[in-house]
Amino acid sequence: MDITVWQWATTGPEGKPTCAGCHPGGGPMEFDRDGQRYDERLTEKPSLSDSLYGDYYGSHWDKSGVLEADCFMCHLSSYSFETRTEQLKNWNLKWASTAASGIGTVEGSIYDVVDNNDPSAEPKVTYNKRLFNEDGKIVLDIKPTVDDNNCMQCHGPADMKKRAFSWHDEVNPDVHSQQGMHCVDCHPAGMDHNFAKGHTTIETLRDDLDNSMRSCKDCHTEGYRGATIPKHVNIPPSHLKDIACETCHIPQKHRAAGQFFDTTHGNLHWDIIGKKEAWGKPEDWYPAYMKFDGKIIPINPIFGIWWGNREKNGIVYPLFARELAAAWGIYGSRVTDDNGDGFAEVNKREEIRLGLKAVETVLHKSSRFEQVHAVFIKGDKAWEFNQDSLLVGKWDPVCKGRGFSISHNVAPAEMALGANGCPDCHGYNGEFFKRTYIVDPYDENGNQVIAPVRKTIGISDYSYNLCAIHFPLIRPYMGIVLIIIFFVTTLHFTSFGPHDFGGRPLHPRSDDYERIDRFNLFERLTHLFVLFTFIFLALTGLAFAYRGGGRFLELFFGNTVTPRVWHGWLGFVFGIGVLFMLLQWWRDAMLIPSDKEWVRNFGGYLGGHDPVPADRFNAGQKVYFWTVIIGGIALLLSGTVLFFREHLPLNLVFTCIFIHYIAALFGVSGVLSHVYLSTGANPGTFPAIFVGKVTKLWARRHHPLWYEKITGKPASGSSDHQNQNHSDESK
Amino acid sequence: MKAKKKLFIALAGILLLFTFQILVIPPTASFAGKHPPFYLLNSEGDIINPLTGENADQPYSTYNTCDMCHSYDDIVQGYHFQMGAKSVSDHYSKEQPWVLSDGMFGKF
Ligand code: HEC
Repeated sequence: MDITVWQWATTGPEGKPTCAGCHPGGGPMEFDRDGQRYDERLTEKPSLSDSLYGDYYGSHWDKSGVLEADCFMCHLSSYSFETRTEQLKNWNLKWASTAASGIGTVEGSIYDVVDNNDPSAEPKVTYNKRLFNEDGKIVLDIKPTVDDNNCMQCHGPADMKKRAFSWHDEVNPDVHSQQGMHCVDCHPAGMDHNFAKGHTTIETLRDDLDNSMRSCKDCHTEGYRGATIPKHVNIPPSHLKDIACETCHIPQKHRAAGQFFDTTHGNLHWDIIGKKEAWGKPEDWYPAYMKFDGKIIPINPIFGIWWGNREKNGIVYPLFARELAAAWGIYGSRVTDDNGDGFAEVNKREEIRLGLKAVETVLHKSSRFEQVHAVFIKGDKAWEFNQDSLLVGKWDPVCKGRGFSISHNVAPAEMALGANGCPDCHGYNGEFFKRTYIVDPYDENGNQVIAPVRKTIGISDYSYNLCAIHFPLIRPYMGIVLIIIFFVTTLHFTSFGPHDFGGRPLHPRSDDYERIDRFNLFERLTHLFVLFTFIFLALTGLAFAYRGGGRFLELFFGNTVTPRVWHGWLGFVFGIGVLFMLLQWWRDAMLIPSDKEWVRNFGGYLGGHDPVPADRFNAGQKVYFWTVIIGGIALLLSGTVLFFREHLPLNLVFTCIFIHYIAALFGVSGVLSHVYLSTGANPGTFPAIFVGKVTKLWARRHHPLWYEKITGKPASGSSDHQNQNHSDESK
Repeated sequence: MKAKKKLFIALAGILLLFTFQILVIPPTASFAGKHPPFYLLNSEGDIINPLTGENADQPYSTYNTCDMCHSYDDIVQGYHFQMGAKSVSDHYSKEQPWVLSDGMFGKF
């Protein structure tokens, strides 16, 4: 931070409110880096304060005392942080706790004693006698735990990142806070005083304690303290695995946060969401996302525009604020404010060039680095001079986007993303993927460059659109298509009745009711496998497609995971069955010239009195066959991708979701028509695929060419008569 | 008379058992909500007694006062106090050599 411990403990830089107003003392506020107490060591050796020893330089520990850990900051709800800051500004370090806890009042100021040479200003305590028993012992309402208010005194204002200030906040509510939960309920600590913490994507802070806090799962899987146990029946399990709870359950934030900062002028210039003058002001905004620890988490993207020096070892070191301020002094007057926000930003190539040169001039004055090579990091580019002294800006690992993870302000479940179905995220208006983040706050013209958040998790425009399109175009119509097919087939049946060619009997023959083989056992078994798996796949698939389908699945399977697992495995059985069908029937399904006539007559389905030419399969069946084959293979391939979705790129998965739904829609409608045609529409057909045999009469009627092929007799015409006459005679 | 005696013995027995039970299982040992009164000590470790005026113009010292009964040294190992100071080292991070600790101390 470029400040001494003394500055840290007393005024802080530029006389701003002291850091120690929140830092609770103890540790480095008490002992120097050699483990000695500052006050004792400086009293022994006063010359240290004139030395360059950073722990003592310019300090007055001998008079101020040190900051011992102030237990009351947390354990006393009446603690006054203002009084503490007041005391610290007066350098009354060892008096701070006595005054701020309200045990006594403190008059005097070490600052006056030292700086104004006024010995009479030596601080004096007047204790609040009402707090003491007759025996001189103090009675205090010391809390075993910590009040939220005590936590928030520090984690509220200073913390633009974790935003504890929005805990117990009406503008930015959280269901847990509304239920009366407290900070320490999720962030408990034992006697070791190491509070359980979450993780941060930006900083390193006791990473060994990461995720030690009580997680959503800890309470919501066991119902701890009455936590609801969500079933997520309508959420695909893959989502629960890949997406953090917070991502869906914190759909929106309502207080402005920082989005980027710029150190160019030698101080921290913050840019706040909604162009607010300070973070914490009411402002609605949507979190962005990033992949962290294998899960998609919601973040407040925060990135820095900063200057560094590329050392010999290739590492880019950030620079001190004072170095940047010095450099700005050299070139700042030549930098213009292009976007008119009152902050002159370095964005044009010429400005970057000036800046890099100025920074190098400043760095050359110190021997801090072995090699002086300035780098300017802005957005997704690092700018520096190459070997030929030409300015180049390109992506570098130091540009890695940063975001602060979001975990407070959990919304009621009904407001979570996905509560209104998949389109909440995947549809055309799905905000999840539509949200944007700032790639570069100011390009060469001073304009903000933004990109959709989905880019950060590798989802391209085309796959996003494919996935989005299937919500308005396919899913809503699945049910409707099914209903239409039912309606049309029923209508057809009512209008034309069973497909018996106008009811005109063929000339009967004596062997008409003899049976002939139509499908062998293997063919029938293949069909049966495909039939059964299809019914399962279609029903469960439909349930996956519809919001509320989860309830249907629960009804049959008790949960929503089992049917998904089975859908995957049975999908392979179905796919293999389809491949077998291809092998056994492809020859019979090749189109032949006479199929034209069948088509011309609409297969006789719209009336007509004579059997239309048809081989083993008629033209309609052939078209249906190839539809099933193509659709089945499409389902098999896309399904295989979905089966292994965890290991495959999201773009491919999204594309396959689209293909799977299209193929399923065609498949289901095709099969429904197929069922009608093989039952009601054509009496006598249905047993063929199960028993394997049909009557000769049926064969003559429906597949005359096939009949002729296997019996060697004509299906109609003279031989009919001969046979008929013959049988008449024999009567 | 005899009945009265029996009743008395029975009641006394129950009372005795109850008392015994209290001895065996003392009332809950957890924090009862009231912190016991204690003396404040100054930085020299001397008692501050505002009622007698003894050291009554001096600030109390958390270290001396609370350490009488709680382990101050253990408590200040918590990261809110140390801020990473314990782990400060020039070699803490290879990729980011300017980061010197696992806390905010020694970081910029
Ligand atoms: C005379 C001994 C004594 C002194 C001195 C003392 N305490 Fe305590 N403290 C106790 C006892 C006894 C308990 C209750 C322990 C229990 O019931 O579990 C306690 C409990 C506490 C608790 C609650 C801890 C918990 O987990 O239940 C806190 C906080 C606490 N003390 C803070 C302090 C602070 C701060 C100081 C110094 C200003 C201090 N104590 C000084 C004896 C003392």
